[in-house]
Amino acid sequence: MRNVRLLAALLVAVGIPLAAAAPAGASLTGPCTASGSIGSTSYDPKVINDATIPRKGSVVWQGSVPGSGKRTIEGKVFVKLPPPIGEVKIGDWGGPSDTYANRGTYKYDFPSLLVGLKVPVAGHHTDRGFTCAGEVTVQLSGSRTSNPVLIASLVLTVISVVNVGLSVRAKRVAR
Amino acid sequence: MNGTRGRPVRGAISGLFTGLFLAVDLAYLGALKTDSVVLTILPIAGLVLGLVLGWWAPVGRVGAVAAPAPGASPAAAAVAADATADAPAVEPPL
Repeated sequence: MRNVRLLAALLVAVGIPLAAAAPAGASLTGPCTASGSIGSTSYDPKVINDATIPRKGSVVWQGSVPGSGKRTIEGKVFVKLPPPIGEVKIGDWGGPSDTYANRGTYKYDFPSLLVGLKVPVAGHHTDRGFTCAGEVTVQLSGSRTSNPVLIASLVLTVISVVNVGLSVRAKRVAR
Repeated sequence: MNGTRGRPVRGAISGLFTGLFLAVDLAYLGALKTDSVVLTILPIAGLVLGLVLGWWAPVGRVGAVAAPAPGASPAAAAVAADATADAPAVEPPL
């Protein structure tokens, strides 16, 4: 029970209800279903690859897998970052479970410093006889140009470029 | 007699930070996803490019003068070879 709830909360809360694994078509692989709604917007992993979500809000989520009886499950959700960092796990689950569906509400509040980033979040769930996997790119809505990180980075970029320009000037030395 | 040389260390550091901040810019502008390998390559490429440019230092470099034209006198060749140095022009041989 707790495993499924954790799975669904993590997936939906970050805007990733086990979304499309296939890069070209938004399709959730495997027989799992999951969805979430933030305000009046619904996110269905069967039809989306990218999700722009509010920086803070409350998501109503639900998820289910087919089957019955107690079985051993395993899965995880992770954020994808550039090499050499790679995957950063944000949640995992495993062990015996007799829960096949769950729903709930999850409140979240991301810092404004993350506005503008396109963060791929992926996950998989292995059950008895099948595996579901998916990925969705999450972006927080809001003004990018008011993000202090971006402003600082742009200023520092200009300073660095000027410094490179000064570096290409030969300096005089006494022979 | 004076000469010139590049600034490879300064160039490398500047290039590294240029690539780094450029990567942050592109990520925050949404041009690249956070798992893009370009975000890793940019700082490295900036470092290498800055190192090469700093080493080369093409602006204000001494010695980067055109070769004397064929048939030019030895005096003209000598002057051309040392033209960018701060030393006074070479006296033509007698």
